[in-house]
Amino acid sequence: MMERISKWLLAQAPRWVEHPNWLIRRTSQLTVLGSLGARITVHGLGHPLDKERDEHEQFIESFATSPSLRDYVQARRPLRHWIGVLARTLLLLQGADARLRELARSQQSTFALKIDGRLNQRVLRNLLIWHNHVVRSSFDDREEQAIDMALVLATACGGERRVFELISASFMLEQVRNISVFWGEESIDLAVPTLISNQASHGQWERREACDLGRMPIDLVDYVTRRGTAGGIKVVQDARKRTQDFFKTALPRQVVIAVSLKEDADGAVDTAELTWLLRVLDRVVERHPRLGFVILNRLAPSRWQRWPAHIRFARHQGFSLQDAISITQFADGYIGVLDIFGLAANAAARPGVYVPLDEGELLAAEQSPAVVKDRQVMLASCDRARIESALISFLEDLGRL
Amino acid sequence: MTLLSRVLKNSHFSARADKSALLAIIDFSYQHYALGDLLTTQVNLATRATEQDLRHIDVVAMVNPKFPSTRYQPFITSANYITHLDNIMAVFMCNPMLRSLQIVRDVRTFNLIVLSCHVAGAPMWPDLETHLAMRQDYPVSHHMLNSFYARRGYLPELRAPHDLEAWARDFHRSELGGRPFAVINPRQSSLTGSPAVTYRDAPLDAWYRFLDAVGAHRPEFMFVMVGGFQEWEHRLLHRRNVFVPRASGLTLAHELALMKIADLFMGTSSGFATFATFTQIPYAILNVQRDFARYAGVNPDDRHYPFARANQILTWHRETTEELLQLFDEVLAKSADQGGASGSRAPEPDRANRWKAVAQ
Repeated sequence: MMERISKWLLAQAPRWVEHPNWLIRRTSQLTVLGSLGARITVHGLGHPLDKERDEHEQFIESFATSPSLRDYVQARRPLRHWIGVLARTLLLLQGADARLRELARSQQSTFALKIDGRLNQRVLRNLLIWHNHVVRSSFDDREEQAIDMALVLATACGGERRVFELISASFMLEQVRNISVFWGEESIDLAVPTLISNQASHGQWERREACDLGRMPIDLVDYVTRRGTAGGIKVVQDARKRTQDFFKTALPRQVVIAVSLKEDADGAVDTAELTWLLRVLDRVVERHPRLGFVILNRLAPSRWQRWPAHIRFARHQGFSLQDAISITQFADGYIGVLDIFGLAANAAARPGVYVPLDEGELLAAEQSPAVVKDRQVMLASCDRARIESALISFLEDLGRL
Repeated sequence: MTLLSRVLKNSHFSARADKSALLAIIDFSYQHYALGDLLTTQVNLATRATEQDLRHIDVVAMVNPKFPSTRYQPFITSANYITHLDNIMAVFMCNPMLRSLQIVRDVRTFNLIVLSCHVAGAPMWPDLETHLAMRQDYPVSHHMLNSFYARRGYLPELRAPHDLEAWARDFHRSELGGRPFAVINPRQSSLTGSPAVTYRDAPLDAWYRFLDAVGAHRPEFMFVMVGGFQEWEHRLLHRRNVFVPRASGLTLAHELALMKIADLFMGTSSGFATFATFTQIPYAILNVQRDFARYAGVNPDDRHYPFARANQILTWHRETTEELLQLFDEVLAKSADQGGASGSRAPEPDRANRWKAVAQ
């Protein structure tokens, strides 16, 4: 009987806790939190709930984001403050309780990613491959399940200079919720406090063997290099704004092509590649002056020079890595290597010429270009003559827009 | 907290946490995205951990995407919090005792971590009561640091963001030609998207004259301008003796790493000045707010923090070109006296008199 009344009250609660009358609203809110506290006190944390009750309780979490709760907690008047702290305590319990139930239900929500060696352009690319092709394949129901990601930097060999870029890119992955960075595998279990079931060895960090981001399965890299990928990137809203502002002010009325080339260990563009590409682009732009190119890699300061009007270096104009990824998603086209920028452009179905980051990663020496999507040329070759021919053909088409 | 104990008694769970580490909670629903305060917090954490004989610090940075900032930073919203969070990531990695960094965006996970730590009786900052009360005073004071220094005679020092000090040395050699350099940060909040307290902005004309004066007599000396891409005028890039990392695609992490190896720092009292405060870099921190004196445990017009060295100087008013030149010389001279300066830091004799003529 009490259970039924309690369920009925919870089902009605979302209406009452938003009631315009202050007294009804506050009384309802306290009643809801009190009933929650009573349930947890009686049954303990992690007690399984039926689906209906679980859903009813979820709305309580919205209390945690209520500015008025913060007003109560931070109030100078003792009663308001005390009520606020009590509510926060109950919400803390509710959150922990819900998380324990979530952990008991789900197969896997935390993925450990090892980086054993230099953190470079390949590792950044592999992050998106892993997200789009490993994580997604591990869920049966194809649902967009939020996951937690633990980056384990296995060695302190001086190869972690780009860890910030890895974190930046991780923030943009659609399914990634929480991101952790650990220095050394042994610290994972130590660094995260948790509650362990007395019946079973059950913890927050139950996980499979860590995937090594530096060594993705070669058949997967080969597959993505030839066929590309889809989705996976969630563009930050203000990055989209900056991107559009940039296009309109830096390259007004131009057809904008994003470009990414091979980088050195510190993330600066390979200058030999850049010199070669600029010679190709200069010839195309003579015929199609509406084409404008945004280079997404950094340039070493000593390599800076006066650039022609159709070349822009986004990162030198105040754009972050996240902004640069955003540029790939909104540009009219993409040319360059299949690094994280190339994959992001490809995932957003941008037309382009996509070149392998490293030909040695391909399984067979198949040299023929394969067009797998409309106006997306996936080149399975790093041969400059073949790239040049594909680039010119692609840019000629785009220049006629 | 008896409620919590009661709940755990009835549960089939036991708490596990490493008692040799301090769990540091940075919850942005009541803590600020602010370079200076977050850096001071890192040093506070390190002193706290040292006092308790702890070996590591595990940082948990919590951002609820629906409630990403305090009421004092309303411009940080669900739509842009990732940009702000991304911008300050480097700060956590300056913590000298950092073992792990968790960026949590899920309230449930966060609450489980906090509750587990509390129940296990493991060290946590802030403690549970303070966290539940959402209490954090700003600006973050130096009181704990001053008393730690008084007792032990040193302070934990901020390090360059992880693995970037070696990068900075390589970069200094290959891209800056190994030249002596000062990091500068004249505050320009008025150039940013969310200007605040703009009367504290630095007088840029005085700075330009200072840079040109040094350039004329010590052309080998470089100035590295740090700060957001918006926070400098394009004229700065006209100067051959100025390098702007953000104009070369570098980030806050790179800037802090360059600061760590710089010959000196000169700039307005703000986030970068805080980094200098808690390192051994010689500095002149300019125009410190008089209100800040009580938080720093000093009197207005004091020339040094209690834990500072002789070549770490404070001023409490707007700077002029002449003063900048004098401070530049003084800091370098004191560095040379202390024997910690490289040859490049040593000032030339009679410099002070010559500056007067140059500045006029």
